[in-house]
Amino acid sequence: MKRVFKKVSLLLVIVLILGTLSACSGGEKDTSANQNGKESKEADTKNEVTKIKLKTVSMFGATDPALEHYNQMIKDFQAKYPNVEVVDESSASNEEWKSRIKADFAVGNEPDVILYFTDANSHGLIESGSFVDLNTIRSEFPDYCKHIYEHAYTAAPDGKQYAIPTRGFYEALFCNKDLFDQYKLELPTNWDKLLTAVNTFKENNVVPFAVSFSDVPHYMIEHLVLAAGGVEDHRVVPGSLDQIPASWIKGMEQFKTLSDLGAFPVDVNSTTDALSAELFYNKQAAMRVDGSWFMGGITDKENVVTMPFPSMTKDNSKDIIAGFTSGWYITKKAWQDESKRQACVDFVEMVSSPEFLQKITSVAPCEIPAPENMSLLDQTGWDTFVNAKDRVDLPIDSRITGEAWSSWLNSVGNMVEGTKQPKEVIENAITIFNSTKE
Amino acid sequence: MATAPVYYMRIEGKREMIYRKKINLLWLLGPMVFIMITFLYYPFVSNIWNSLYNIVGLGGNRGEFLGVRNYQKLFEDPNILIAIKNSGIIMLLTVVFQVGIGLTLAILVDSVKRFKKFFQTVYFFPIVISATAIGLMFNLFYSYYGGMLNQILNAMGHNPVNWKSDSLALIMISVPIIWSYAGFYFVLLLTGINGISEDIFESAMLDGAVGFKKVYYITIPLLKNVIRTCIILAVTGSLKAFDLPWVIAPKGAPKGLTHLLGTYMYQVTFIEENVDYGSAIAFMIVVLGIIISQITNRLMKQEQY
Repeated sequence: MKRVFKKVSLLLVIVLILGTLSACSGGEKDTSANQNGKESKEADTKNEVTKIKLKTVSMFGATDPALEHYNQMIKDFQAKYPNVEVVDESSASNEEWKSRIKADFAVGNEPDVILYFTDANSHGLIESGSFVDLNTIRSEFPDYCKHIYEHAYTAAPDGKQYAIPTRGFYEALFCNKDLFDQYKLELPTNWDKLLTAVNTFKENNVVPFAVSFSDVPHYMIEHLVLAAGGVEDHRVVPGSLDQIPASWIKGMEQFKTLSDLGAFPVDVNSTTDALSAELFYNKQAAMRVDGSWFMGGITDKENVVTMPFPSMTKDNSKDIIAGFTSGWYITKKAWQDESKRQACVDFVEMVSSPEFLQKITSVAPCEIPAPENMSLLDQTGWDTFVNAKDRVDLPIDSRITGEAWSSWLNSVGNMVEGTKQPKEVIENAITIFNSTKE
Repeated sequence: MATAPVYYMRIEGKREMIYRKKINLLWLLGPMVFIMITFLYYPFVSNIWNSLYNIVGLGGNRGEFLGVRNYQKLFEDPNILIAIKNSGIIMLLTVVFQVGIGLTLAILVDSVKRFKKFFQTVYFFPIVISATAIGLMFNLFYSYYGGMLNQILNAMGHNPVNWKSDSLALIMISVPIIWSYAGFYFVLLLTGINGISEDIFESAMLDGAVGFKKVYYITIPLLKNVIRTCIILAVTGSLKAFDLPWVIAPKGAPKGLTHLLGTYMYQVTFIEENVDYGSAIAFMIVVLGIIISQITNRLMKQEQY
């Protein structure tokens, strides 16, 4: 009886499998009955076969106003090239995002096209041959992104160019102008005015600077160095300890000076960047040092202004941190896949076109019309970038290694409290830099 | 004729033979062994190998051979000492409070006659919330400016407190860790209590063991094996603590004082991109985990009833 049962069961399983297989292929047989239906099916199948899946990654984060335009551009791209399906993964960039991208490349899960940094962050990926250089692309597509200004490109350590820059950035001092007006303060165009503002705001229970040193102390480091030594000293890349500019140490000493004046939030060493930004948005804080992307989160665009961070040595400084530190790369893996090559080129062409750039930036690497009807915030931002002209420099961490920069970042809390001396912190960072830069 | 594996059990014997044909065991166990080798043992050995070479950047190739230099660095790095100390504190707090609260709640809920299901759901609920959401929520509680705790203090006429100051931060990190996992141990222990025969409780009651006496002399001794399992889970779990602490106090905030072994390893490897040193820390965490779980096992020997 048991044997019979087993045989019947086996038979049933075989019938079930055969039935499933025939059902799968049955569709094609059915279409033979209807010629039109068959053609349509064949066309669909052909489309499916030739449909290219383009994996893209960008740094357009959720609060970035460019995200909406970028998503629309992807829709337009897919409408223009119906044989391409774009699978996009966009996220605001931070240290974890960078790590994730590098890990993806390490395990062979890289995208086809990526908006990524052109500074030291990309050097490892370039050295490992992850990207295809512009000369190689232009040998096959001679007009590839020819509208981009030559000076906007960044050369990699091997002297080649890999990325198409699209959106520049600048970092500046954001001020809640209404708070300055309320306490009858002048905007801080020099160091004395800044100290006066800090004292006045502190006395009136307004947090002078909205910042988190446990999360993002980067901008404050950059601007204190800039305040003390200008762009000339900021550009220095110390090859040894005796090449460290004195202004770097003087700038870092201001952490304690400002902290003693009460310039920072009480929980500056433990709060998060998002919570400190809320202080600025809610007018609980008067100033914040941040990048041009910070504008996207500001709703009160008529009462917030941006300006260069005040200098310790001169009035009305125009020195700012700015440049093009990101660009669109085509990965070598995608380039080697001949079916994807054209789609990659088309995508980068569209995402770097003046029509698209005009929508997402006022800091473009090519000619775009000046935006119309700018708010006070946008106008002051435009002026800050345009007036700086050549008084700009890229951030320090675009030139030094992650390990060295991390040691500097991690010591800010101690410098604020005076438990570590600025000279010791900078020397340690530069020692690590020179021992890890190859 | 090949037949399906015939299995039988020798009820009277101690040894059981499930499959007569061993080859079938290979088919069933092989894939899991393959998966374990591919995703656990190979990366583990590779990690030890990586810790012996200089690796610059994530995904970078093995460079200069460093030997045990990274392991020597472990003894010189003050942050490692902080991380070990903090992990030890979290481990102690977890064992005492997570398991302690779980046990107390289980005993109390077992003694109520109505709403048992309600309490079970309420206490277990934090487990299903993601650690990131809990971390963000507690960050809003702890915020100095307008955080929930300071709003309460303010309403009571007190000055605000910096809840994540140097001295309070670690305690504040441990609160949500304890809160979110106490429910897990509560469920384990309640299941353990339900497994104790009613006859034992009834005869104990006849002997006059009720209330606290019943808990102390009957329930806890009979739960010893479950408590032991809970403690081992809590000890090994606290060594792996990462997500919640990282959201509440990123990068060991303030000033790296709240680093745990997991968060420090992550920072070194993924933020500072010092992959070789990060690998050495990861290996040290595994070794510590094995040592501590062995000690726990020896201290709390399994009891047969």
